[in-house]
Amino acid sequence: MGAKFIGQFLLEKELITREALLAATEQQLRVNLTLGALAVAKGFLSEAQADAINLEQQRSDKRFGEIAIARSMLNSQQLDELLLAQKAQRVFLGEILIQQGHISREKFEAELVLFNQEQERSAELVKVNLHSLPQYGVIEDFLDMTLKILLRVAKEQVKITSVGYTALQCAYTFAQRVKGDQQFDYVLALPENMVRILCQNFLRIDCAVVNELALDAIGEVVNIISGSGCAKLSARGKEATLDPPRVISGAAPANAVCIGMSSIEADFEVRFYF
Amino acid sequence: MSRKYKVLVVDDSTAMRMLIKASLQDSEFDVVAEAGDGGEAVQSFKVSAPDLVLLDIVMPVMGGVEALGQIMAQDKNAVVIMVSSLGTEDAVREALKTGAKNFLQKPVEQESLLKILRNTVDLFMGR
Ligand SMILES: [Mg+2]
Repeated sequence: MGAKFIGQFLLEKELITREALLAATEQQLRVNLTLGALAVAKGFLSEAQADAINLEQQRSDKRFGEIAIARSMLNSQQLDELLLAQKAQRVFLGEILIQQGHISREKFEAELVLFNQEQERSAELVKVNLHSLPQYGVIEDFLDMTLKILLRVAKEQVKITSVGYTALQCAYTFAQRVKGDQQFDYVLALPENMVRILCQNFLRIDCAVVNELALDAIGEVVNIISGSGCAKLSARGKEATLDPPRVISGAAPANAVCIGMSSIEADFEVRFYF
Repeated sequence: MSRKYKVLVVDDSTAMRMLIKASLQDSEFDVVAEAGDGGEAVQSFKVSAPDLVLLDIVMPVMGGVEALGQIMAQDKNAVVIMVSSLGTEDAVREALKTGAKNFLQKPVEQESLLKILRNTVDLFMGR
């Protein structure tokens, strides 16, 4: 199990409670202002302008400052000032936990060292395990595109936490057949909340329940990942084409390669059915 | 804005059609019809007589490249832009050979979609 962030790590070790972690993360959101909020507070932007930039930011890969400058809403001097202010007022989770009395500074600092070590170890382990897979080339290409596309279309920062042959129990499983020089199913297995969050971020609409549209949206996200994966294969001289994505059910086949993934929201799996 | 261009959007994903429509809102491109697979696309092309077609490739029943062939057979001057996740050399070559004017790989961002539509209009429709 790869720890997601320091708060989760402390929680798993029962050094802080759920309530403490929640209170601290909420406090962190309150005190760490976004560039947009800072710009409004300083009178550089109107709220409507900040909203417009945020909206464009959600639709593109660009940073807030980049958009604001391209639209001549901020000059580079103002942006520098905002970035400095943001850095100066930024409070880390550990600091809040300490201030709120949930953990002592000495204990926190000792745990932070352990946390960083564990992060490094698990990253190393994942790398070694991935390399030892017989289908490493294809898997690497598709995993790489999974991380990039989830970040690009759904603003979801994801990392690989495990490599193995056991499948996680997940509410929704999406599969897409890749054909050509190599035939396999690229599979994304997600818990319910992850389906809703991905749908919400991809379509920029509220997604309170998993409905037809949500399933269709995630199918299309899978399609975009697979299509980009195929493009990578093609760039390496391999032939690859796709069938449309589909929702599947039932247990994973015994030879499925299961890659554990983790984001702030949930754990999920990318699988390869060869 | 001198005129509006009629656009047919073809994609088996409702979500993707929604995103494309949202991206074209308030632009000179007017989505006049939608289709969810290649067969529907060919039918809809006849009925809606669009200026431009945005055509997906990976679709059930009839894929985009086959639909493209049938659309080009109906109207050799049809202006079709492929919008597909499948960015392989084969897919791009096949689409262009069959008559597509342009190719945009998904994910689709508003800026790149408008840019490719405007470029295509400039190149092929002499606005
Ligand atoms: Mg499709």
